[in-house]
Amino acid sequence: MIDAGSVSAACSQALWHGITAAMAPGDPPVLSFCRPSAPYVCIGYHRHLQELDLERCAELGLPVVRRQIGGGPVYLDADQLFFALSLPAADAPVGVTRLYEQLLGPAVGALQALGVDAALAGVNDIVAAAREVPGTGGGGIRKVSGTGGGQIRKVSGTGGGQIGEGVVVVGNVMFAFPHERMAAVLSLPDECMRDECLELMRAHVGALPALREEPVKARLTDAYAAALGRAALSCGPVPREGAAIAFWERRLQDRAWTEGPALAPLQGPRQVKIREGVWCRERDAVARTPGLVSCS
Amino acid sequence: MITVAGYELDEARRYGAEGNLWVADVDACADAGAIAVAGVVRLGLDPLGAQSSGDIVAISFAAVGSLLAPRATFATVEEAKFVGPLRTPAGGRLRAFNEQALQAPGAINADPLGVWLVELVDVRATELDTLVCGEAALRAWFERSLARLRNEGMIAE
Repeated sequence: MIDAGSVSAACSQALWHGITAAMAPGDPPVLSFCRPSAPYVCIGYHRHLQELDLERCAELGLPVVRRQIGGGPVYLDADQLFFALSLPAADAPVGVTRLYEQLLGPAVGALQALGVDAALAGVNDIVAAAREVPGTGGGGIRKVSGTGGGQIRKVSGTGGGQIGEGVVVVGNVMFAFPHERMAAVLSLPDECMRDECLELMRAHVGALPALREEPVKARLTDAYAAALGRAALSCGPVPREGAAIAFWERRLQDRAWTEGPALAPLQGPRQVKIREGVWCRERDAVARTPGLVSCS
Repeated sequence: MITVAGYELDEARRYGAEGNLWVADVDACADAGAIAVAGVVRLGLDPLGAQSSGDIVAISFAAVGSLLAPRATFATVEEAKFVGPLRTPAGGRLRAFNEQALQAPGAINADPLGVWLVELVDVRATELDTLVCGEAALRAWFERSLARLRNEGMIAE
């Protein structure tokens, strides 16, 4: 287990990229933790930068970091704990569904042990039934165990991929989430779609403000150690991991990398995934606004 | 074309045993002629490679002109919820990638033998010789691959 603590935006991504890239067959799995010291926006490997309002990101002082795994733009900050499990590709569960079931199952179990009624939804969303907690800025949720009621919200974003000879599943635990900031950095055709996105995010993406970082890390470590049948050993990166982390930290800040690979052009109406099964679509936003033809 | 366990394969091509990729001479793609011993080849996913990848939603390629060693990543493919590398079974210089695959990655799933991914030049004949070729070897290898993927749960019975 490697706990990097509070690190820069680039390092918060480079940590698990590097550990995974440095994996060799036969290596033990590595569970890593970190928190970004400053907010930033992270975008999936095969996504267009045009999905972001880059001017707004600059105004807000938010760097944009492209990750090697998939998924849309996400706002990340110090109120989120990142966890990642890296292991040799040959040891990873085969098939996407099985991969997430087996490698996110311990995270779900850890949250449940902390009193969160967490569950895996779809392929790889971690959700919790929740209720509003007054005074948490509208985004806070606290699980009321066993009540069975309440809105289901995504409380952890996750993703996975293969880098070099390693496979990684990475996720976050959100202690707070600024929905307004997330909605603000998206490039959208008009403000009514931004309002719609914000409304849907508030309804479907939540945080776990009752949790604290150290108990979460302890539970996650115990859960992954048990699932992997290993004793957790806390340590720093070995030299080849350190070199790989440094390489990825440079790469992730390289302009050409951030621009991303050549991709098919964006087509069709704008749509934003809020969580598994919940989308905000340009046409829907217009259609749901009475009398509205276009906000722009 | 031959059919193995319900899958169509082009016996004029060679196949990378590890990644379920086919390798064909550029001309062979058009006229099914014999594969060149060296020169320009095209790579693509074979039907098992395409099926076990799941629904491909995006693909990107290494830079044109890149010199690729055997097992080097020539493309990064994104299926739903997972991003991973495609590795060349033979070394060479990347001459071109298929714009159709980039624009419509779902076509790779729909027609894996018909949608090439990249063209490599300066491929060593000795590396091509290590690939699976010939109907008998192809049938035996493909049936083993299919059994393995079914055993791993990657492909339904």
